[in-house]
Amino acid sequence: MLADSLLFKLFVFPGTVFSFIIVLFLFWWWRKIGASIQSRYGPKHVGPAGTLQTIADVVKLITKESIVPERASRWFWFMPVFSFVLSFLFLSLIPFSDHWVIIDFDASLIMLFAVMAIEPLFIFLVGWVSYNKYGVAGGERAGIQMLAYEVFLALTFVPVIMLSHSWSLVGIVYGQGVSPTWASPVLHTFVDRGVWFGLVQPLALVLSIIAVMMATEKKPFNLPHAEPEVIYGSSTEYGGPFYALQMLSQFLMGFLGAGLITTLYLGGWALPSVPPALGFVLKTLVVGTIIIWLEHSLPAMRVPHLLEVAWRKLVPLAFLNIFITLIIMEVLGWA
Amino acid sequence: MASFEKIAASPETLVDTMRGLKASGFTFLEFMSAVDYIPKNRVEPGANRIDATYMLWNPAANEQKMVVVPLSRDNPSVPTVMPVWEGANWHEREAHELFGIDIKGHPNPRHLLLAEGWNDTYPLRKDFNVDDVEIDWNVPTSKLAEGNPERVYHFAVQHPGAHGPQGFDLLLNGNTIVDAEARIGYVHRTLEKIGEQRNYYQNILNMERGCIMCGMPYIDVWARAVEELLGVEVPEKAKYLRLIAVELNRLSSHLLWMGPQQGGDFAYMPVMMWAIGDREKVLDLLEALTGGRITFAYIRPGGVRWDIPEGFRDMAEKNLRYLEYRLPMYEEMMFRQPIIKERLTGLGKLTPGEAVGLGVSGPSLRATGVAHDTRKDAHIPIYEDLGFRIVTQTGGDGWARGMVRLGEMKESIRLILDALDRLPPGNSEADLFNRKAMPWMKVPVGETYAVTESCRGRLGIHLVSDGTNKAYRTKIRGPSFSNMYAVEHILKKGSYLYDIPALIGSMDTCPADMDR
Repeated sequence: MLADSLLFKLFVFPGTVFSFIIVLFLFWWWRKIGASIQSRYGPKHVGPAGTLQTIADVVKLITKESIVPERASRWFWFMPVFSFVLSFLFLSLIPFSDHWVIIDFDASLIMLFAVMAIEPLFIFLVGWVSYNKYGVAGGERAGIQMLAYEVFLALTFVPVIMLSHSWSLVGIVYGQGVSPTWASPVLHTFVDRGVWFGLVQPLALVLSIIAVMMATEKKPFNLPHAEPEVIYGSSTEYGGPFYALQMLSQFLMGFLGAGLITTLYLGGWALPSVPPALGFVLKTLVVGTIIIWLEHSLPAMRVPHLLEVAWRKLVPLAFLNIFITLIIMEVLGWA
Repeated sequence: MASFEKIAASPETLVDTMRGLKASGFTFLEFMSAVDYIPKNRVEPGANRIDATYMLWNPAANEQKMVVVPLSRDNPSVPTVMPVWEGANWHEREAHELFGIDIKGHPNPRHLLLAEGWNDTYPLRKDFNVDDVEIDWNVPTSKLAEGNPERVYHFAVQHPGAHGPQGFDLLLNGNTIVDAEARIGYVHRTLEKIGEQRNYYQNILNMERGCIMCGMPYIDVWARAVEELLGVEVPEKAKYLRLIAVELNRLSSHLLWMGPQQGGDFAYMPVMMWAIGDREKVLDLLEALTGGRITFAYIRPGGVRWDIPEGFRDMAEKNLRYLEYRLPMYEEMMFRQPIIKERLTGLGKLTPGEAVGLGVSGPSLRATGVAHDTRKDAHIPIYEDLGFRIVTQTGGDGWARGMVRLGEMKESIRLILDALDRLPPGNSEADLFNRKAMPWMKVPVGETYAVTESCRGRLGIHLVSDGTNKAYRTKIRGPSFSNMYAVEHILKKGSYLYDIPALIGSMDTCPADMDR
C-alpha cells in the first residue's frame, strides 16, 4: 500500500510536502498573531486573508540574485543546506502517530537530543564560511545559547523517561496512557494506564517550553539572530533563495519543537474523535501558538542574563523536579 | 545687545582662564567654535582674524560668558582645553577641520565630520571656495582601521542597531570593547554654512531640518535669536502657542524614542508599534496647529505663522487625555518589564560630574540627578508661569534616562493643556514688518546667543549679524553632538557589544542634530 511505504512518509506525510505546507501556514499564522499584538493588520492582500503572502514572498526570494561574498569559503552554499537537512532529520524522529513516524527505535529520544545539539554547530559554521564578523559573532552566540539550554533540556527529559520506562518517543506516548492501536479514537486518560505527563509534570512542561524556545531562537532568546546587536547573526550574508531556505528551516524547527512538547507532555497524537495524525498537528499548533504569542510579547535578553537565568535558576529547578518526581514515585509506588 | 559677556584671552592664558572660570561656577562648556573675520566683513570692517570662541554657562546663576581668543588668519593655533573639559574634544576637532585652527596637544586631531583625506581647505572660512577642495579617498577614516582592520567591527550606518547614520568602529576582545571610535558626519549638511548664505526668513526652513524628529525647538530658538537682535517683543499669545508647539513636538519625539529607538533595541515589537500608533495622535494635533507633521515652519521671527485653529482645544483634550491614560501602561510594559529593567539598569552609567564635564545635557543629564533644564534655567517665556517642574532621576543609567523621558512626557501633556486653558486673547504675531518684504529684512549689527531645551538637550544658536539680510555666522550647538561624545566615552571605559544599541538608544542621539 502506497500510504504505508517509507517513500510516501518521506516525501508526502509527514515528510517534504506536508512540512512545506505547515511552514507556509505557520509563517502566515506567525505574522497574523504578531500583527494583532502590534495592532496592525498583517498580510491581507494576497489570497484570502493574506494566506498566500508567504508563497509570494518565497517566489520573490527565489527569483533574487544570490550574492556570494568575495572572500567567503566554497562551503558557503552547503552549510545552509546541511542545516536544512538536519531539520528534516529532526522531523523524521517526531511521531505524528505510531504509524506516521519515519524513524522510531529504542533510543530515538537520545538521537533527537543529538540532532538538537548538533544544529548550533551548523549555525556557527554558516556564519564562519560567510567570512563576516557579525556572522561569526552570531554563530558564537548560538554556541553560548546551546550551552545554556542543553543541560536543563536533558534534565527535563529524565522524569519523562522515568515515568514511561522508555527511551523511544513512541514509547513515551504509550506511557501516557494512549492506546497502541492507531485507529483508536479514545483517550485513556486518568485511568490506571497513565496520564498526560504535562499534568503530573507541570514544572518540566514549563522548563521544556523555555528550552524549546531557546533551541528554536524565539524571543526573548533570539540572541544568535538578534538584529540590533549582530545584524542577522550567522545568516547576515545570505540572501535570496538561501535566505528563504533558512527561514523555512527555522519555522520547521519551531513546529517540531512544539511537536516535541506535544509528544513528551501532551499525550502525543491522542485527541478524542480526531484521527491521530491530525490530533498531533492540532495540539502542536496550539503549543506553537502559545510560543508565538510569547515570542511577540517579550523583548530580547542580554547574553549574560540568559546564561545566568539558565544556569542559576533553570538547571537547579530541573534537578529539583527530578527529585520531587523520584519521591512521589516512591510514595505512590508508580515505579 | 549681546546676551552674554565676552572675555578676551590669548592662547597662552587660555587654559588658566578656563580653569578660573570653571572654579567660579561656569561648569558647563557649551561649545568651542570660531568666527572668521575677513577684511571686507561688515561686522568689524578691516578686522583680519579668526576668533576662537568658547561658550560657557553658569547653571546656578544662568550666566553666559564667551571666551574669545583672537588669532591670526594665517596660522591660527590654540592649546586644547581638554584638561579642563573632557567634552571639548569633538568641538576642537570640528573647529580644526572647519576653520583650520590648529589645536595644540589634542590627543586625536583627525577629521570628524569631513573625509579624512580632505585637503587644507576650510569650509566655514569666509574665503572658502568649493573648487579648491580635493579629497584623497584612500586615507583611512578611523584610527582603529589603520592598525588591524581584521579585528575592527564596524557598528555603523548599515547596522540595524545603529539608529541611523551614526556609529562606531570597535576593537573587540570577544564581546568586550577594547577601543571605540565614533563615526559621524554622514548627514553633515553644513547647516551652519547654509545659515550664512540664506536670509533670515529662508533659514526658518533650513533650521528645522536640524533634527527631523524634533524640529520645532530649532525654529523656536532661531526665531528668538533673530528677535533679540531686532529688539522685537513677541505678543503674549504667540509665546503660549510656541510653548504648545514645542511641547507637542517633544511628545512626538519622546514617543518615537520610546518605541522604535529604545523598544527597537530589544526588538520589543508591541511597545514599538503602539508608541508609533499613539504618536499619530500627537502628529494629528501638530498638523491641525501648524499644517505639518514632521517639518512645520510654524514659528517665525515675530510670532507664529497663524492663530490657533477652531476646535483645537477639544481635540487636544481628547488626544492628550488618551495619551495620558496610556503612559502608565507604557511604564509598566517598558520600564517595569524585568528583562528590560535588567538590560537598562547600570547601562552606560554616568556620574553627575562626568556628565557635566562631557557636556551632556537634556534627559541624559537630568537622569544623573543634575536638575538643569534650560526651559527653567534660561527663563524661557511662560514655562515658569505654568509652574514647570524639572523631572530628575538619580541613577544616571539607561533606566533613569528612560524614566526622565517618561516623566517629561507627562509634564508636557500637563503644560500643553494648561497653556491652552490660559491662552490669552490678542494677536499671534507682532505687527512689525511687511511680511512680503521679510526676505529683505535687515537685522542690525550684533551678536547673540539664544538657547532652549530641545528634546535631546541644550540647544543654542550663536548668531552674528552684519547688518544685512543674511547672518554673518550661525553656530548651532546641537545637543546630540556632545551626547554622542559621551557614548564614545562610555564605550571606551569598557562596555559590551550587546549593550551598544541600547546605549545609543538610551542617550537618544539624533544623527542630524549631531552633524548639522
